[in-house]
Amino acid sequence: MIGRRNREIGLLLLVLIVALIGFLLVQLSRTPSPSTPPAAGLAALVILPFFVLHLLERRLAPEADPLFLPLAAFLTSLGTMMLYRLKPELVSRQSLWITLGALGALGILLFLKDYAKLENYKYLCALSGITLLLSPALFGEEIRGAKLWLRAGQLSFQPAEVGKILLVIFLAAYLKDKGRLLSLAERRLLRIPVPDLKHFGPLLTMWVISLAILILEKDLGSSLLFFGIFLAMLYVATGREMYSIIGCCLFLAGATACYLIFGHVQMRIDIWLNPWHDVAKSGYQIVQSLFAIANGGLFGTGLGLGYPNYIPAVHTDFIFSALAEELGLAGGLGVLAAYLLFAHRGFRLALETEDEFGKLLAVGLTSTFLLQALVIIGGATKLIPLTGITLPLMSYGGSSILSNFILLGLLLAISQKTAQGRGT
Amino acid sequence: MNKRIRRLTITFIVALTALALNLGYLQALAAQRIASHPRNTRGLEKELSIERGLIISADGQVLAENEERDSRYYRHYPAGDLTAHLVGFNNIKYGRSDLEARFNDLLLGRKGVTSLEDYFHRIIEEEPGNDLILTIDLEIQRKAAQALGNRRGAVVALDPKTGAILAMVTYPRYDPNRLDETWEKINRDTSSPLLNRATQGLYPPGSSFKVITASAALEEKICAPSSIYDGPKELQVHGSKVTNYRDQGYGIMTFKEAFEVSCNTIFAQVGLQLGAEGLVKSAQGFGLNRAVPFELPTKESQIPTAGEMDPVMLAWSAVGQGKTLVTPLQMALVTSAVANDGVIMKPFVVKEARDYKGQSIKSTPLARPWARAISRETAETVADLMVGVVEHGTGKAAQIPGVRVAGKTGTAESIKGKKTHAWFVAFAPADDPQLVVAVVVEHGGTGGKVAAPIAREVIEATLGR
Repeated sequence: MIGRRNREIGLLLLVLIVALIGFLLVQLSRTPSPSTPPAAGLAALVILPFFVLHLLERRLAPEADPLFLPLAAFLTSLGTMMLYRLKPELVSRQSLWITLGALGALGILLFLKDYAKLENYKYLCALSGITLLLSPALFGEEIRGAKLWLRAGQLSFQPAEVGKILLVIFLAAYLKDKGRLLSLAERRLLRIPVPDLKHFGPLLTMWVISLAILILEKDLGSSLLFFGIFLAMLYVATGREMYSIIGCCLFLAGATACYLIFGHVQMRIDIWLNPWHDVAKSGYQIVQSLFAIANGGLFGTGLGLGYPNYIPAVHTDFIFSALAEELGLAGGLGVLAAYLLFAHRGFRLALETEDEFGKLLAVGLTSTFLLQALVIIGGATKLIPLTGITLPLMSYGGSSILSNFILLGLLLAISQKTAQGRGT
Repeated sequence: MNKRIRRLTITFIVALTALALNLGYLQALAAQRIASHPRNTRGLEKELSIERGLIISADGQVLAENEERDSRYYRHYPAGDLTAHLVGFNNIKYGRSDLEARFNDLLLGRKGVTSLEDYFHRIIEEEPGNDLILTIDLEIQRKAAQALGNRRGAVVALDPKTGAILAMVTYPRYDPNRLDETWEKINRDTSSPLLNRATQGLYPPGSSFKVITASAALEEKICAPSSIYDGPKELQVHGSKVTNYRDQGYGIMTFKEAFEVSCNTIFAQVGLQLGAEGLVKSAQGFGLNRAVPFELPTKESQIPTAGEMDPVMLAWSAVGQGKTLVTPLQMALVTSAVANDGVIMKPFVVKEARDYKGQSIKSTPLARPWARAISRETAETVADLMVGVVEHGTGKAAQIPGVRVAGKTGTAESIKGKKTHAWFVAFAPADDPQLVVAVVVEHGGTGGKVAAPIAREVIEATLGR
């Protein structure tokens, strides 16, 4: 169905225009220096992988949903534009990762078009996923209070980023098999159907893993994310609210225990409750983020005219705050709308997909994408305690870009197969 | 399963909506409150990125300019301490003062982005702020500072016809370019180098106050220049005595002669004739007990109310002692009433503001009357008395060949055992006044010996330009 691909290229061109304007404005706002690369070239470089992906899609996945790619291009170019504004020296490295990411997505379309194959490797996925998740705890390097990084020479890598995708694949396959079994209710508690105690095994396992991440890697964000993804998928697979409720209680209990036992968790929560108490030190980052957002107002200071660089780690965890400062509420809502639309297409895909593995996979991947955005934007705007995770496709960071492109590739593959299957 | 997917979708939509609402709260409802938190240094940072307008003297000398470092602008003051108390300072650490504070918005120019066009304009180049052109003539300012030297005190020179301040010098001073090194010291220093003595130093006026007493008496027709008085060594007032400087006796003389030699015992009599009501009313007409409208911070000059004055205090007040306290600026304004047919013009130091293209943007008429102190006739008579002071009275040191100078000395008692404050107020030329000068030297000695020569130098410097 060529119509879809034509819509896609139209939208991609629109994104290219937006990116070009944005990069040019950033360049104009900066005092010219020979070391910063020219804007137009950068915008093209960032968008180019998407056009290449689009062209290959015409051969490999002609009937895939036409919104995924333009939305991803939109978020990626906004993120890179802000990076160009904040840390121009990092743009070339980021665009290299974008290219690698696009190659990754391409690899999925080439070799995993029949993603159902993945089902056969579910335990391999589980094993490697958990290994990747927990490896930093053993060999990792602590950066900014959290052990998330593996370092090999100049390259540092956040294995959890790829680990979470492998885990989603495993869960989709596992829950497809065991979902019906897990949903059997054999007893009732206060007239609510409660699954048999032995079915709580997977729930408890995931709980232990997420607590291990929290305790060993001091990473509240990833911990929350994994458990959230698991609960979303478990709910869709079994339909048992009781799992979600008990899961939430377990997580809260675990987190509370950690709050009482571990200083760093306690500090995070205390800062969240009252960052104004210690503006100069512990509350500095979140308060600077709030200053930036408030400074932006409805329409922002204008690109290049704000002071987002006051926020520590602005180009990774706080890129949304920088955007909210310079593009205002209008820009911030635009970004939220893009994530919403992406999630909407993802869940719609899950609804349309016939096979259960594909459904669960689409749900898991979409939840992963959206939950990350919710957790970090919620943290940066002080709606929930701050946990350092990346904003999908927007934050600076190779592992994050790579894993989100793989996620994109998988969604495109599912989408192609679904459309094909329905014969439309 | 599809029903559950829909429910999950709704859950996520609710969460996203919560984010959007919270964002709206932060950027619309609470934005002002959060952004104005004192720890938000964005405002200061923003100001550092704007090329602040220059401050320029009337003779075209730059008094405040910018030095660019790492695309931030820092102030530099080429005239250093000489104009520190006028221009003030603008410093990220110590804040800002004087004109830099008073005209901060104007110097910064526009602030927020007002339109899309404005934004495009500004990302290419931030518009510099507006320049201020002062009425201060740096050459006169320099001469006045040289004449005062390193004696504590102040000199004010202004144009009586407009109220334009031509020079305003205070000593001790501080260097606004070296705040980092000296901040502690100048704040601790008991000689208060940060204080602008010209506008905020309160001194007993001594005999310079006789300009007011004489004006009141002539206006009320208590006496005329030719009225005859007896000026003894001391005058008994209700068991207390009023004396002359160095306990001198003058004998019989006219009111005009009494003004020229500054005879206290005669002026005490005139004061008693006037009554507390008359004296205080006249002083208030000259602007005492009123805040002076000015671009720089001023202290209000004070005279006790008529109700607070017993005859002893009245007698002493009439000769400028007692509880009356005045600033040098106030005494310059008093003198300007005599020089300007009885009308005091509102003093000002900024005559123009120009945008970076050179367009004038401040166009309010500057020469505005502030108070009518006395009638034109009285002003002319008092001017004659003051000419007499310089021609053959206590103010001979202010004589300038070829120029008729009008003046009045003051030698004010301060703390027992300390030298008197030396005052001199003057204007010149007497028949077409170009400037008024008020000089005070703290614990300097007599007005005629110490302050009058300073005034003469300032007058010479001004008329020579």
